[in-house]
Amino acid sequence: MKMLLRHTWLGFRRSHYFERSMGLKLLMLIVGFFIAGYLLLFGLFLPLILANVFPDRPPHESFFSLLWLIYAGDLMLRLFMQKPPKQLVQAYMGLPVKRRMLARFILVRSWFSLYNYYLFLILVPFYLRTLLPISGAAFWYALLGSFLLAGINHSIVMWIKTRPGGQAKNLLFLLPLAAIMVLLGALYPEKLMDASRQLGLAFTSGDTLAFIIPAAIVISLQALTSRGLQRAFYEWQGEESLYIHTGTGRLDRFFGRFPEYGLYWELEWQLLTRNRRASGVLKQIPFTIIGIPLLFYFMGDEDITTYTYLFVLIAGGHGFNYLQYAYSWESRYFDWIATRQIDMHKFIRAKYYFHTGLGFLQLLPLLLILAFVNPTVIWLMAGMFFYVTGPIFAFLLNAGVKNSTRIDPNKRASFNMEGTSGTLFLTILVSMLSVIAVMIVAFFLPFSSPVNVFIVTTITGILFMIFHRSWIRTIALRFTKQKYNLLSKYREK
Amino acid sequence: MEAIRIENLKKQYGDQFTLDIPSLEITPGSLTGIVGNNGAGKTTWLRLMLDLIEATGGDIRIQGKPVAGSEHWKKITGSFLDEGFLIDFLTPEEFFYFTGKVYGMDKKAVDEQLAIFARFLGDEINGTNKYIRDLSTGNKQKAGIVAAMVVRPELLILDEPFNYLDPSSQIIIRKLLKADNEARGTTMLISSHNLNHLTEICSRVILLEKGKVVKDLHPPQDDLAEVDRYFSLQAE
Repeated sequence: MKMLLRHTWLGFRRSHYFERSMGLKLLMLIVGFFIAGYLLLFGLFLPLILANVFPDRPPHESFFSLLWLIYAGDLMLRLFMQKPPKQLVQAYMGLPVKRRMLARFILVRSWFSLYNYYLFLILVPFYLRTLLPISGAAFWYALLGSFLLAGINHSIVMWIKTRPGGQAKNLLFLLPLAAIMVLLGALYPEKLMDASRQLGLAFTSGDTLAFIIPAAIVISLQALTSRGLQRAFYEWQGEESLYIHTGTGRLDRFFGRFPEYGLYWELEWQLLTRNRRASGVLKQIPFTIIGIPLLFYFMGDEDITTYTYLFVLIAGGHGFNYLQYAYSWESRYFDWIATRQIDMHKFIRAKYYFHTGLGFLQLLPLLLILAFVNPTVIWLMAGMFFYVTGPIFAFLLNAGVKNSTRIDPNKRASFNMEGTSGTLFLTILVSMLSVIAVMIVAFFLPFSSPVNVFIVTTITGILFMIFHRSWIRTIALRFTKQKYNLLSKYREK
Repeated sequence: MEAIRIENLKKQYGDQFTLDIPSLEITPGSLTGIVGNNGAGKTTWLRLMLDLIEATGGDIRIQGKPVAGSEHWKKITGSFLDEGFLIDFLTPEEFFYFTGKVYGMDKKAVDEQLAIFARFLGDEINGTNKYIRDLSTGNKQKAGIVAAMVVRPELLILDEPFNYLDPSSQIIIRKLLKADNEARGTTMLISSHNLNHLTEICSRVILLEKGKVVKDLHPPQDDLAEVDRYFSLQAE
């Protein structure tokens, strides 16, 4: 365990991410402090808000009624965002290191995830103001109970994400559970809120059973995860993947038949379907087509501004997610690209067309469903599609080139994670902030909301689409200039 | 015109020169072997040949045109240095066809070429539906070499092609390289630690030591045992 800890520390300390991007790290720190401050303040003022909304009940009881919703949201967030810790495994397999030990080590590391603690930035000030005046024990018990609930979510996510057999397949396990929760929430909201309140009160009163049951769930899930991890090690070593068959390849051939871009699309499609990480992103498409209308069904149509921000994340479809890692996918075989007659301009253009097309295919059924669920958002969604596939895609493709750690042929990894999390953070931040500019321009238009936003996003998006050859040429040129920088620095070390 | 011309080629890391070749020419159709101990600069040279790293000084020209920052040489060059040259989520066949497509070859033309390599590839590579990433290191090596050769390049660059290959495959690839060089006049630049392989097929052997060319031998006029003696002395 000590050796593993030391290696983890060294791996972190010697990663290029640690050595570079001081500015980016500083920015992340500032934004981190900002978000933490925001959550702390929210926790401080939450008692006042709840007292206003539910004047007939103490704020902590109102809060406990919403616990189920908070932790359901937390689980959804984790399912999409929380990753198991990155751990070098193969190198230890040939050494006298027990698989069980490795699995346990990964589990222990996973508890350090920020996702387990961010809610406490709200909970601690909230409980300080509402429970501490009642009793010190109630404060501590409530914190412990909340930690156990976070632990359940954490354990569910770790179990799903580390099981052998692929993440998307494992997510299917949760579909019946999610359906039951949605159904319960829709049919019996009062009862669910009451049960949730009772649980919160049981925590504060120090009811042993209220702690034992969640703790037992956490322990069971952790044991399951440990077993799954140990089996997954075999898969990671490729023993099981030897028997994966490549299928008929009809779609590969279909893409390959297109003139001019067929060559690149065929490769892009093969990458998307055969790289575990990339295919994981692709397999989220059906979930989003079902999940997003559900979200809009529950949200109603009062807050158009919130929608606009949300659309940035979803309107470009799969591409918004995928292009945040643009060129990381090619890291492993970049030498091949660099030494073959691959026209970078055409290569990036093909990528752009492919993901815009895929985004459009994802958008169509979504719009059809939204027409029944919440027609108000259809136009905004369509406008944002142009916006995301236009300037945002351009930004993402460019950000990938600017990231000097994106390509690392020495890594021998199917996907080069180096530098992606920093850029990911920055790209999402900038993408979201860019909406402010859209809002400002829309504000000066002589149309009411959301027509003005639709006009701005559509026009901006279409302009970027019309001039795509020009900006892609600039990116391709920059890529070619960056080539030596991208390729040589690791070797020089 | 010479196939490759090198002038004042230098690659420096920090204070140390990894490669320093004042002048060197490689004639068309020659099969040149590069030998040297670890760190002699063999791979650096090949990476510079393929414009994967930037030279500190000097230049390499293929068919009279500089390699650095250009693309013309890609049309005529086949290469395999390491696994970075493999698209590992493809099956070997898909990779061969895809590489062929990039070089403007149709499936039939690739198949015709693959037939030549059938014995070398054996039955563990094609038709197994395995992705390249799931192949053994030796089979990956075979896939990389074949992908480089299947496009019938005018210039072939291989780094340690005999590594990881079983003895039979080493003999087969030696014969294939020799046959291709003689039949089509392919210019070949091959690095290896193994002198036996090179002495058997190469019309020229360049010995590198600490980035410098210390011997440039043209068998049969030159005795390649000299290289052997050189390494024996180094070992002592």
